[in-house]
Amino acid sequence: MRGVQLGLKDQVLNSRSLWMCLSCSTCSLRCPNDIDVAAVMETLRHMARKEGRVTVPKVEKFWFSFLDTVRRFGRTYEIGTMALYMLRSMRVFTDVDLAPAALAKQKLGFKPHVTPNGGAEAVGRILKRYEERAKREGVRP
Amino acid sequence: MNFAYYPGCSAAGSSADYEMSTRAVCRALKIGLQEIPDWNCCGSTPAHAVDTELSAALCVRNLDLAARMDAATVVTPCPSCLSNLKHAGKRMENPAFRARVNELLDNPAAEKLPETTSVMQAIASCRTAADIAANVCKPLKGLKIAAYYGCLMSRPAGLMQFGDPENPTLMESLLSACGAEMVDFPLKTECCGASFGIPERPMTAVNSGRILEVAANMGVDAVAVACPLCQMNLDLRQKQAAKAVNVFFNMPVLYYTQLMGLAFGFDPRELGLHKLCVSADPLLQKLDALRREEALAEAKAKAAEGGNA
Repeated sequence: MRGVQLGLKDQVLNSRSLWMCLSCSTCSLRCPNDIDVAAVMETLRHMARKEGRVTVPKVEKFWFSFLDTVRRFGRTYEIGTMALYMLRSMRVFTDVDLAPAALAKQKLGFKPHVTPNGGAEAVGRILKRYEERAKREGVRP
Repeated sequence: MNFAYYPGCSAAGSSADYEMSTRAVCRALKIGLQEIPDWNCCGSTPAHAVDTELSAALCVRNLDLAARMDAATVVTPCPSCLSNLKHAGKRMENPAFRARVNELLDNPAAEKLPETTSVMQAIASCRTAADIAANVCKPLKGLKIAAYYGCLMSRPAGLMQFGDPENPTLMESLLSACGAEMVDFPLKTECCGASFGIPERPMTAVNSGRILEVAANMGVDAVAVACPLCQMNLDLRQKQAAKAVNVFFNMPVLYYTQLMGLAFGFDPRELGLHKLCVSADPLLQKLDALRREEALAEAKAKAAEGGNA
């Protein structure tokens, strides 16, 4: 917060903290000056991303692996997200220790759950329009 | 009472047991859940972390569908979906924001979008503790439970309207009505590490480990949760969490609806208890033994009374 006040743009937008924040909002709740720290963090993250500054790329890779499945199916596809993340991050052994338990308990569906009646396509269009608009406005989607 | 129902994606996958038990409990309490047709993912953390308008567009498509069902209120079991839907609904009150979101949608959103609330608050708003107790046929009396809410149910406080954001007590009220002994759990609103279990495992393992360690030290029989991601971090990832804090745990982590369902006399399979990674069998056995003893003592007392008469 001090960095923002002092206008240290590079230092703030390149910091790791932006990417390691869990968005739990405890800081906003407890701030004695009533600053909505979580909202500031989120805004800074948006600013950094739009300028192509991503200090902890694996976190962003996980987000896009998730959103890719939503774009395709309209709903999250958990195994698909994991597979895409492993490919993107080259960390092919992420959480393989959990696979036996998760599969035995049928915690993860093998088949994606698709939004019916054209809903998946409608969601695809939302993401497409978002990307096109970002491009028009000259920012990284 | 009828609500438009938004199950959320994990209901079809990792939290199928939450979905089964939520529907069972609402059925027993005669609370109607009308699923929104063709609902889509709310975008969860990835969408709002990337862009606020993208996140809102994904949420508003669902709220718009619910508006077309003439629903006044949408309910969802998942705190992350709840937070996103509530944020989106609130932000749509700003005309400039609304216009930017409408640009992303196939058709502009309905002027009046429904309110969103959690299934837990919906139950408490239309059923009293006495209504709940009236459905209990197998009281949880004798079971010591820690209620764990995580981050998003109560924060940000102004938007979520969930009572004291550092000390919510709604889950305790519902489970006490079912007879459970609720401990005063100090870490009830601490973060479990959320979705960082995948890209940054140590952070999630330490956070979850701390929560489990305090619960275990308080001698509880189970931790009750309301969030699919918290449940996954505390249950599926319990071994990773144990390693991070160097303690061995064998702590069942149940959805509050599973505990209510047990009290209502549902079969454990109907509530998806077989899907828990840390088995709830010891808890079920303890509960059965407690109720058997009670019945035996009652029968003895009756027999003694009969003898005296």
